Amino acid sequence: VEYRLVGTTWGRVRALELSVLWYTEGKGNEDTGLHYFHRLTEDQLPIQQGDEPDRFEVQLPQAPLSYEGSLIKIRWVVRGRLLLSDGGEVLVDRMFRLGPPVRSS
Amino acid sequence: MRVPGSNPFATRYTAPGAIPYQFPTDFGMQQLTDRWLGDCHGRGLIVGPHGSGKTSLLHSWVPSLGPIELVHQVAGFLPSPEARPQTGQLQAVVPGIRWFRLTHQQRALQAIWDDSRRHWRPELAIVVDGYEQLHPWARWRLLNRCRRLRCRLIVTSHRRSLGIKTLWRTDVSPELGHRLISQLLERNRSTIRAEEWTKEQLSGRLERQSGNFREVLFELYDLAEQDR
Repeated sequence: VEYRLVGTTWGRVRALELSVLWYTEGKGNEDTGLHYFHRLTEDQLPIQQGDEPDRFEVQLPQAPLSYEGSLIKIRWVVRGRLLLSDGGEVLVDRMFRLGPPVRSS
Repeated sequence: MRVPGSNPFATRYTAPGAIPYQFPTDFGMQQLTDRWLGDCHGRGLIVGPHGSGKTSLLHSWVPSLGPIELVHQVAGFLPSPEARPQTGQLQAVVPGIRWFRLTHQQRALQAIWDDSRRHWRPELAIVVDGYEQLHPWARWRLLNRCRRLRCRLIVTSHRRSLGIKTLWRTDVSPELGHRLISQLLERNRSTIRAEEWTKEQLSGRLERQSGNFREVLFELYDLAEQDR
């Protein structure tokens, strides 16, 4: 996974949390599962700003696979959560599909 | 945050806590708190039909009263993270809140008694969501214990209950329903337009569902799925 922090005042950032998780969405109660979590504190924050992305790698599990049903959907996301020193936060989700490779005919 | 392909009426957007409770224009949280501590002497009942916003009101209002010490429930879903411990402007007045969401009578009741022996103290606010699920004897016992230990009490119920003054009545008018739907669609930048559900249509749906806005949202979820 590649990511870049853009437009951030460094003095305001307390920590960055990176996670990979799935959640259900639909008509009923939600379920969620955290697959990967890593917290970078202020002194561990990425040095790179602007053009050069930072990276991390995650081995994804076999299940649950992404699913788009009417009553329920299973969504996988990479989540970045920037915790600011004033108590605020910036949350960014990037959805991706976990499933078998799509075969070309 | 909107996820591409999300249904704007999915539970994550409509569950209590996800939509802030909306009062009439001339009323707000502070007035509700004043009424609770004043007219109701710290023991108030929030009453309204199923799906009319009782739990949503708790989620919007209670965190502003002070730190929540415990959210206890037997089944169902936990309040959203926003409704969990927070400091509030009335922290000095209400030193703590213990919140019970009742979805199974016997076990929840036992949990309340077990909890009360250890932790209850004067001015602690006890919140019971689903008060009507308690047996009348259990309601009397709970009220009596609150009086004896000088605890404050906030309960929700589908019907008026003897012994606790009505603090607020929840009701979703077609106008309010339309506004909430517009906000949901706008927040999710949905391609569905609120005008497609006119106030008259919404009024009909609310009437069919006996004022249960939650059921109306379920219907709209299905309609939105058909439109995808």
